[in-house]
Amino acid sequence: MTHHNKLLMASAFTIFLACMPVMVGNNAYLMLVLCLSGIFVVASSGLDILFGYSGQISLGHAAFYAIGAYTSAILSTKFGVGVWLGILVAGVLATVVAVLVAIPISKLVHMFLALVTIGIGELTYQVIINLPDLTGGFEGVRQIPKPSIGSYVIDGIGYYYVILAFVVVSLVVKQRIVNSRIGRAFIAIRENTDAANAMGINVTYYKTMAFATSALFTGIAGALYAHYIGFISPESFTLDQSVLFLTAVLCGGMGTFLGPIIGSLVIITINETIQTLGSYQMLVYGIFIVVAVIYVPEGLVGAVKKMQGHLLKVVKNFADKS
Amino acid sequence: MLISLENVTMRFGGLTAVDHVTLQIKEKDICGLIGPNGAGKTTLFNMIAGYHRPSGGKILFQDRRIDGLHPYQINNYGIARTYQNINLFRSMTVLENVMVGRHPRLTAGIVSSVFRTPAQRREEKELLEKSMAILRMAGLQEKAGETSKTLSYGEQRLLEICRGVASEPKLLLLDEPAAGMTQNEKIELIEFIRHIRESGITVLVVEHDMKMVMGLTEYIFVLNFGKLIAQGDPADIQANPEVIKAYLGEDI
Repeated sequence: MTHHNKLLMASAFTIFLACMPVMVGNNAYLMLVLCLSGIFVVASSGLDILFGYSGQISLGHAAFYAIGAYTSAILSTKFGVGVWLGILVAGVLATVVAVLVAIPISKLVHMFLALVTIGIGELTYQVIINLPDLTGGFEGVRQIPKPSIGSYVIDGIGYYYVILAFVVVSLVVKQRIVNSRIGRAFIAIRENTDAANAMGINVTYYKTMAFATSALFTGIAGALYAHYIGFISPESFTLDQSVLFLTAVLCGGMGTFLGPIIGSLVIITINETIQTLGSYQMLVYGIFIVVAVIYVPEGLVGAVKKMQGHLLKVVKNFADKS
Repeated sequence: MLISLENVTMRFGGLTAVDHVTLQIKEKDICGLIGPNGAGKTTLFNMIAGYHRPSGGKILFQDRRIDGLHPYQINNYGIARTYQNINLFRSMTVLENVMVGRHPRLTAGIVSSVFRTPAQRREEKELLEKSMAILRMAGLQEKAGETSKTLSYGEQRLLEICRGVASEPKLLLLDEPAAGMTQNEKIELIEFIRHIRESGITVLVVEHDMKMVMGLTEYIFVLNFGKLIAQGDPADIQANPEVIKAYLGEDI
């Protein structure tokens, strides 16, 4: 597909999504799934920059999701800061924390990185539950306001459009980053760190940048989540959440444009469907990850491409014979 | 002098891989570095490229000390390299590999990339043209859009050189560029390396194919057991008894 065609497809799909409320606006369940998926797309696209493109694993992205959510929630409920500014500050704070964390751990790879990032997630969780005056502890933060323009409070369908706007902007930003000098440096590090270093790429610097950029996305997603649900508590920001982000990227297809989008839709849909399983939910995701890694390591996007290839071959063989 | 090594030594535990090597390379030469297996050639390369920090001695590049710097810093100073074992960015296209090679010559940051500023777009356009020109020089232009891991062995070696040249280095280190190449590919390679030198790049090449080294280089350094045992033009080296002894062994 040419660049022009891709742009056309993306625009058409965006318009389709923009029309969703008109078609299914009264189906509250469907709108919930779409809104949560959108928030998830923002977060997992960020993680994809780090994991898919730069090849650095993070099992602690719930930390940045939490920092984003709590920052904006606390600012708007306790300090009367406007929601828009709160979302911005949330993203910036998540980025700053990510830089501070990334510099010391940028030399780590593979399971060491996985372990340390799990630690970061846990550390953030502990900070949240141990600062009840600020975060409300286990009680969480309630009555988080919706954003507004002038005196008009953006609620319901309106907030759907806010999320959609953030999804579009974050995907455009992501595509521009990965198709630039910066993105090529990320991919080079993923492909061959030694060679990247020999090509003049400061590996520590770019790993830190990848970590920070992904945290910006995830932090903003956290803020969007807080203002959407209106209530946050520590349970939403455990290791499970980090695993969910990673599962979305993995099962959709890491290092691709569509991967995190498809992955998020799948994960949120499953998540909302298997709510009844309670604590057995993670069992389902566990099986999901194992199957994805073994059978479709390139995710659903890769699996579809493969199937297309096979189908084309079958059709071609058939045509050749007749 | 473009680069000079003064008493450069590399010890790995009890093994002295490179032993007090002192040598100088002039600008715009094609120099050869030869020696039997295990003589310390690649170790010497790795020290110049910043992969190893010398245990002793100094490396001066254009009168600046570079020993102990990181590989990326040394690349930024103007030294590029290829590897004995191919080290391409395997799932990137041929063109993208060359584009990464030009990284230190570009200035776009994350903000200008996100906003696609006119300067950034100009830079990307120029990058595309320059990278294609380099591929054309190596005869790889037809393969520009292919994934680099699908190239033949010889083509992958050529691509490594293209990637190294892309940053317009002053010194290019080639570690056994002809290994695994067919005779025809070797002839093309020699042509390509001469072309590179004409563009103003000094080349230091480690190579086992004696015929090629003698035909390609103007000056040769010979290492044996980590020590520099001879240097001179190809004719001198071929006649040097020390060198013959190192390669063929001593009479009993």
